[in-house]
Amino acid sequence: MPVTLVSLDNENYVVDKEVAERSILIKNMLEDVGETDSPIPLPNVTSTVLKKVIEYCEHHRNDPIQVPDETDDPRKRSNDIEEWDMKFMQVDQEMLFEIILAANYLDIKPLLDVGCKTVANIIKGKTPEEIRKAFNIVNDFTPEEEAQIRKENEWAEDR
Amino acid sequence: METNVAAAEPPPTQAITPITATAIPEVTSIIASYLTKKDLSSCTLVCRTWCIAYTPLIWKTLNTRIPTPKNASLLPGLLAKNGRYIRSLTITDLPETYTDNPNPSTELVFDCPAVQNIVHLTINTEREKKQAMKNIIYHSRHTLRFLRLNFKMDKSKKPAGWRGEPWLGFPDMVPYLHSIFLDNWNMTRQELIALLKACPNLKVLSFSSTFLDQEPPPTSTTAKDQESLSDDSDGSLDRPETKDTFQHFGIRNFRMCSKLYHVLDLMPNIEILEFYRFDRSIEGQELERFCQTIKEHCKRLNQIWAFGFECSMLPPVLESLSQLVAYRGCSDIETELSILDHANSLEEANLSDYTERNFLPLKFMESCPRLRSFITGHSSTTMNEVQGSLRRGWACQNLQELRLFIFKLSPALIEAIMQDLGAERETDSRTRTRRSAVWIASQLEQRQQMQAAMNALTREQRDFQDEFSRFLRGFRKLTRLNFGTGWYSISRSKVVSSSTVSATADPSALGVVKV
Repeated sequence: MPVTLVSLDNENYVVDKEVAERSILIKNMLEDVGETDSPIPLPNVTSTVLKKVIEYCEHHRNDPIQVPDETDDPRKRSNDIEEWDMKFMQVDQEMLFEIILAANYLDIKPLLDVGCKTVANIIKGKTPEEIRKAFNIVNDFTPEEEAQIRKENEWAEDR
Repeated sequence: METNVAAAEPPPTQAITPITATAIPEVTSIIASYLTKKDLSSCTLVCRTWCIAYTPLIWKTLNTRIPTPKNASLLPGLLAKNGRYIRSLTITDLPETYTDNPNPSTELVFDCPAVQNIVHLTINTEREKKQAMKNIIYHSRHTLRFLRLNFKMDKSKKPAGWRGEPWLGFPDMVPYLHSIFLDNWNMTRQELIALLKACPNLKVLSFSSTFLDQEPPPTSTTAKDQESLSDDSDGSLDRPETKDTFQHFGIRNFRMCSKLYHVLDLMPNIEILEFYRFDRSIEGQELERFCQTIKEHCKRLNQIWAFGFECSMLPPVLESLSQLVAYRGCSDIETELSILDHANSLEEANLSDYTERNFLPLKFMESCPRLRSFITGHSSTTMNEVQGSLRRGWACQNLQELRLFIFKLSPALIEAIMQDLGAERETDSRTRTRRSAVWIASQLEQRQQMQAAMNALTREQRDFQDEFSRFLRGFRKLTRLNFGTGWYSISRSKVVSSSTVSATADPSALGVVKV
């Protein structure tokens, strides 16, 4: 049975229930309401982002539902992104962060993970200045503050 | 619902910046889980917003040696500020780390009220720090879930006949503590009981090189344990019917290294008994007493894990169980026979640890109707024996996972069987992403070689392939297989696996899996 999703800018998207239910938020909503054909408003997601998210959910419609694994290695690997996902994530930064926010809001854990992995890969191995450049962030520290933080961080490092 | 949407004024679209997106704690902590400490440190230096977002994540996990006097003076101030972020703390404070430092700090600076949210605590330290150790536990008593206390004694300082460090006082209540690992302590039975009472939610208890003052457990009639249930009022434990003995009903898992601990009477609900590093045989009378306690008190015990073992004590232990559901570890033929005595209840057997070879692997499939997972180490099982077994039939209709080593089963023959079953080699995630042209070429070459080897299979091997494949296809739940060349998995959602099968030697045995 298809489900209609409505973006912030009032675009309607009709998708299979199975696809929509990749979003735990929507899945829970549908379970609460039961069978319904009224459209589901997603007031936090714009149509460009929603289109992208639906594309992801379509591709992963048959994936097994992720079960949180407590025994997981805490230092996870960020380089094991699947090829399709990697291509999918090749978007400009604004879109990347929009996708992350949407995945967080819609509760699509695997998409949120892939988005965060992509961000982590950008950060990895870079100096603070390089990170600022990569994300276009302005340094609002004084040199003294920076030195102080550097010194404090040392104590939190493993030794 | 609909009207709401129509009425809602779309909020002004905000420019999404990396700053706003990463300021959401959930998002930051996921990103952080893929980064090293050094990367996290760089993140805190990017800007003020990131500093606030990432500083807690730097302090979240701390793995530290003893502070030197120099940093010991700085650390308290930092801990007062950031100590509350520490969730996992490992302190390694060993005498041997002093060698290049003539004036070690004598304080455990983590003994600080701000460090009060530790969930996972490991302390390796020695006598002078006992009070600090106690305080650290006390400050985090409301959040602690995992605790490992390793008492260290320099070999040269160890007095002859040393029997562990006297146990430290423990808070009266550490409500959520789930696992305790104790190393090199000495405690009386009363102290152990007090500890168990303080931890109503304890599930896992582990003793290593710990000495329990052998006040014998009260036998059924004598009520030695006067400090019973009179005054503890935590409601999370079921009240036992017996009047005078304390028992902890939450512990599921008891783990012991190199010697037996006679405390099972205190934990009647254990399900898993783990043995590690038992490299000497246990004296007969002691073993008998231990097994007697199991029979008398531990009716739910149904899993044995035994790693790094001298196997002679396993059969009596296994015999004292009313049922065995899972066995993991090493084994000899006597042990295997004792496991097979529990054929009707056995669901999982992993015999791959430290075992030279397994003796009766096929007997497990033939006689254990509930077997779901069977994993052997090496075995000298021949193809003939396997064929004999197939004709006798396997009882384990629900088999899901099988690792079986068969003597002289060539890689090509294994590959042919796997293809018949539509099983695909499990790749680890690393190889999945490393698909360079060189890699693809080498894969192609390997595949061609394999294909050639498969085409060259003898008549006898083909017969074996046909018989075994046909037989295994009858196991509808079988999803993972390993015949010595790595794990393969059978995807049950796919009806036909299309690409790889076309090259099969025998086209009639394509990987069609009936669901």
